[in-house]
Amino acid sequence: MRKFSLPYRNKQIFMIPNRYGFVAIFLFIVFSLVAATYSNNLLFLLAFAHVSFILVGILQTARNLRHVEIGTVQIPSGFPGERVSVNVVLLQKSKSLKTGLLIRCEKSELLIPEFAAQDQKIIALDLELPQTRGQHILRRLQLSTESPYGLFYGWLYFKVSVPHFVYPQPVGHSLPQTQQSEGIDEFSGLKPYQAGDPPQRISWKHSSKTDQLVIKEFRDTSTPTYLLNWEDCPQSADEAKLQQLAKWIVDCEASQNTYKLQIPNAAAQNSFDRGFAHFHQSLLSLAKWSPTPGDPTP
Amino acid sequence: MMYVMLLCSLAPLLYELPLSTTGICATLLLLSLSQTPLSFWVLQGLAVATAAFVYFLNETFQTPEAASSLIACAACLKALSSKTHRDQMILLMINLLLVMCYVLFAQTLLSTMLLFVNYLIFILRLFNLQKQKLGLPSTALNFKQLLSPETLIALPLLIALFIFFPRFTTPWGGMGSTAANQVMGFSEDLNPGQIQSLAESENIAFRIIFKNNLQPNPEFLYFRGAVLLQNKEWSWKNANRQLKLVPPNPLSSDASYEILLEPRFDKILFTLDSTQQIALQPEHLSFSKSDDGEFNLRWSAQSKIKINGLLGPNEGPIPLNDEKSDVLQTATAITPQMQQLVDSFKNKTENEKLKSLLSFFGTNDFKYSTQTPAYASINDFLFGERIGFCEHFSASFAVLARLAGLPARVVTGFQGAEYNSFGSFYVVRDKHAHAWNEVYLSAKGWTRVDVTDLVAPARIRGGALFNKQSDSLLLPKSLGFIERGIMAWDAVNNRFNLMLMNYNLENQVALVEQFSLSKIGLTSVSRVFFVVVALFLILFWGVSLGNKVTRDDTAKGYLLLNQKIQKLGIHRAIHEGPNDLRNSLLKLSEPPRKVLELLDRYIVLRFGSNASPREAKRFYKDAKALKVYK
Repeated sequence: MRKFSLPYRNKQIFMIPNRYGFVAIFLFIVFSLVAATYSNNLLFLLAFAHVSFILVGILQTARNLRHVEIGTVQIPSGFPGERVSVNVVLLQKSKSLKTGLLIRCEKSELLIPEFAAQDQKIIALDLELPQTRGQHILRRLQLSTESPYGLFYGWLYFKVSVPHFVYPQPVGHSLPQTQQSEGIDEFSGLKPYQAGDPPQRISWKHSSKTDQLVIKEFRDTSTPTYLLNWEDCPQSADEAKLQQLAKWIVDCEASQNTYKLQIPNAAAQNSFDRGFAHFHQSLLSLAKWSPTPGDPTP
Repeated sequence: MMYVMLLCSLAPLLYELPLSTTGICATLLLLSLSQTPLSFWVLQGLAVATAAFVYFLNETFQTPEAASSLIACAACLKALSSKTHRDQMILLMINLLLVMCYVLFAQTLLSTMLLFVNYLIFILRLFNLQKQKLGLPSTALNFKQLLSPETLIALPLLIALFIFFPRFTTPWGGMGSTAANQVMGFSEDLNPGQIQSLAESENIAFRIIFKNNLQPNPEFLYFRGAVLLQNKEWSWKNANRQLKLVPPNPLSSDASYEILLEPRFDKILFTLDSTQQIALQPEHLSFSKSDDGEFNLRWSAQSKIKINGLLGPNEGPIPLNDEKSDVLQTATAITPQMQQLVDSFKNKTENEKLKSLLSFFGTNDFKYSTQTPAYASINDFLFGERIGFCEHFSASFAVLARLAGLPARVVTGFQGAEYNSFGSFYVVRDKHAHAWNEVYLSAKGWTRVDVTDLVAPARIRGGALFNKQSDSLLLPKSLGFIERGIMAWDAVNNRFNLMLMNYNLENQVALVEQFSLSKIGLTSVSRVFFVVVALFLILFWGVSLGNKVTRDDTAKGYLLLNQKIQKLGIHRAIHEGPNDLRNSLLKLSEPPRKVLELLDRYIVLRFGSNASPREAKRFYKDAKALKVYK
């Protein structure tokens, strides 16, 4: 992964006049020519005031973009073509109010009418995930403005390289009716704490010994339990197998079943569980899956 | 706001344009104020009808008057259908064109002030339109925004551009004419009533400054314009410009003066008697061919121009050769009465003829007035009611002189001026317009003769001007508080004109030459201009980069902490927050406790509800002091 240095900002600002800016420049040419034609100093004065204003307009538009930084950008994983919400933390580091900032992430954009000095905003942008499974990288975000005068269009890019994962498309056969046992929740082992895990499951006793937060895992024996095995997939192609497994995971989650994914070359070990965190963790394993261990996902 | 903006730019322009344009604009604006919804085709029809009407009134679109009328009407038409942001922006741009048109007609201190007020309104309106587009409420003038470092450079840039921008001329110099409303009252011909019509016009024709603090008496202030040679009854024509004159110079032999002319187009130059030399910018000079094939020197300017004149001693009489027959001819019907009058001194010497002629006007109860009867012939005037204005006296005198064999011609121009003690200059107004004669005396050459001086000496010697209401001459009275205020304002205006309106290539060269050892020209001025512009661009660039990012202590501390964590081989990615960083650190074989502790403090400071600045400062200090080893 690319190394970053904070803050995420860009000094390279691009600027072009918009249609009204072109009219303003055209007016400057008209003023100058008429002033020269009639040797009219007052018209020269108007022309020079106008060109000075145009220059100030360019600089103030650029100033409106400067000192805006990206704090963090987070893109959730999802299924191919799914619309997810990209969370961007924007920081305003200048002492002046900024107006009319437009932040764009691929085809989606959001207008920030006002951004107070020394403020920060968390904004959510819409993003349509790609159609192919695996890791994808959002290379840049665009920040643009026409303020304060609406004559020039200025923009800059934040080169962010944010990784995000696309799960396999859940297609294939439905879940086989394989019931294992019935009962109540039963302790099945320990696993490292991950964001989203219920805090009441943290085992403080074990955590203090390892300097790492660990949680207790329980297996619900009252609901059907599934072992979603790579080998059980009827398809022969790898991608088709992954899609089949994704389908089973979705089915399991929909029917509140406990399940465990078993795939070759898995980056992390999986255990029997259910719930939001387990669901996404399992799908993430499928998204990251590579035919050879250690190879990057497509 | 839109109407305030329109009013500020449109009203001064309409004042300069014909009344018909005001009528059209007022109608369109009233229609706009009534907020009557108009369909697209009605608007198109209105636009075509307005353009056709402007063309009908001006018979062209090419003169500044016609073009300005068209732009004024276009602005009012746009106000009719100004609903969207795009419409408002277009109206704003047309508004700037209106300001441009206005300064084509008026170049005074007041018009300069109006120009800046209008430009300020333009900026404010642009700013508020952008806010409206963003759905934000419009605000009053945002001085903080306006007085940014970039804006503060704009003013010196404006001054530098004005001083150093080379005053080149375009091939279309003097295109069109704004002369229609700048009536000076003089054409190439003289007919009764022409000068009379200017008797009460307060319009300034020009200002004159005498060098070396000279203050000539009003009776010496004769500004020669057209010299008219051909006569047919009352009509005199064929202006011919002759600069060298015989009349004795009332001023010192090396006196010089400076005339600052108001914008006029294609007019005859006005210079003082005994002017030996004149200098003005070549682009304002032109020659026009007269009916008899001679070329007359003209000046044309849409802006104020300066003429430098040098008075000098006479070089003696210039002999009349071919032109003698021209200056003795007359196509006036000679009546027995006129013939009898002329015959009485026909065989006398030229000086005696002149005396007799002047004595005829001086002793026969001629009256100076603008309420003159419509004389069918010169004879009716000379032997009828004998009430006339300067044009009647000069025209009839020249006819009689020619009949008596004395070469004579009519000269039109200005006589007299108002002295402005605040600015030490004279103001010549249209009401100073005058007509007089020149006769050729073999010993002196062409000599000025003013019959009006005999009939109404107060007009010439006392500086009195005709008052239509009282039908009499009014002597200049002592000035009151208001008059003195007006005079002071005029002095400021004149100073402003000389400094700003008259700044030209000559001044630019003189300015640059102060820093140069050799003589320079337009190219050198252009080079200096580009250097100045380059310097300003560097300055702008510097200002745009010079603004430093301001961070609070928490942000600065977190930045330092991130840099130090990088030493441990952990690089925070864009999608990772402090919690992610914490988890990455926990995965290390020996998680750094101090770093973790600082990260926890950062989370509390940044996302906690009651973080004090003191704690933030301590956090920054601790982050700075932190030492991390891999």
